[in-house]
Amino acid sequence: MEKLDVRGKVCPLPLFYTKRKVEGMKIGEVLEVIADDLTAKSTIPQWSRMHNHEVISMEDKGDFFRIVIKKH
Amino acid sequence: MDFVERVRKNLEGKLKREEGNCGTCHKVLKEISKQGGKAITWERPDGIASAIIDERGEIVGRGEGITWPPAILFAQAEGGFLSKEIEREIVKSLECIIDMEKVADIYGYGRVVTPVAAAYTEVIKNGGRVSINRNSWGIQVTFYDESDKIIATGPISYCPTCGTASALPRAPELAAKIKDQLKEKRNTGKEKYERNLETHFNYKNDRVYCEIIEKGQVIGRAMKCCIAYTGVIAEVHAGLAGLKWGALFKEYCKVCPVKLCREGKNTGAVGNQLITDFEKKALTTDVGMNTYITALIKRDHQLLGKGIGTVCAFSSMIYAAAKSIELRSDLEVVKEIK
Repeated sequence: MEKLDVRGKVCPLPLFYTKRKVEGMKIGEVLEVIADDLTAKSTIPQWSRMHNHEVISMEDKGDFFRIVIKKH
Repeated sequence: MDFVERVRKNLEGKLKREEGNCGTCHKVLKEISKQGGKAITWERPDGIASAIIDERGEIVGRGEGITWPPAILFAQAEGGFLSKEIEREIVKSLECIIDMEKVADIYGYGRVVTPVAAAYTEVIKNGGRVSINRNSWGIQVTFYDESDKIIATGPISYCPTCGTASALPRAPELAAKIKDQLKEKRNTGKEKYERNLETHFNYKNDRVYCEIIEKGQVIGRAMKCCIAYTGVIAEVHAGLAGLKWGALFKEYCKVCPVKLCREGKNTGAVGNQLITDFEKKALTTDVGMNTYITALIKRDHQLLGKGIGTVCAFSSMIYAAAKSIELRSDLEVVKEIK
């Protein structure tokens, strides 16, 4: 699994880094994103779905949240 | 001290909220350039990708935007060229990629003047108006219908043109109309993408300098008063832009009343300062289209001044102010307009 920690980064940077990471991955690969920006909690899954990537899970971990995306 | 730290240190105390995103972007680019670096941009279907290069040619910042200047500002923020305090404010104006893609869906590849000019024409043709105002370090654009009811307000954006492009997706009917009008129109950005062209920006002789590079060769260059204008003129020089825009802009430079290019100033800083001064005096700014992008400065809906510009309403506002003693503020006029 690829990992991306964007804690401390505010919108639009978390999605920017997520997009760059996903663009560099092969189809079928999975990315775990750790973020704490509240806007990114909606934009990262929204963008992923818009581009037909699968949002496998989204977990609230208190100070941060974890999104797992599979590239399609 | 590394490149980014040197640039950031040299900018301490020099970046002003009044000069806005655009003025800030230019000031930072000037310092980056003084230190031997530059900005490089690439057209893509979803907008513009950017990078800041240091004096060794290493990438020290990356970004994206709906067109060149906001993409460059994004890379400046991402690279850490701004103090934390200013970065916190500037990021509010950086375009979310989702919004960027919505703009690109209307007319992509980093082109904004074409859809924006079409939007101004369409709104005004239907009896409406488009207003611009400062918000934080950016510009916010609002479309009004013929009853002066708000159609849509865009996000805080880089400048009036970017703000208008960003507001369009929030007015779905208008956006659909513009998208349909432009679907067969030639897209210079698409051509640059397909030819894999790079657009380089830095400062030379106190002016913004742009080179368009194809396979390592310079195919177009220009030196003007702001990133956007310089980029477009470089495209004209490269034979990329339509002849109509090239002729219009050449004529505009002849009539420009302020010649900021000769003063080491940039249109973004002066334009932002001007709109800040207007708002302090309770003046409002609407934007229209009359061959050139046109600014209409009003007090209580009464027209006080009108001016034409090139790629953005900042230049139009400057022209309007140069024509009017009341609006001039601290603007230095070198060529009086009759």
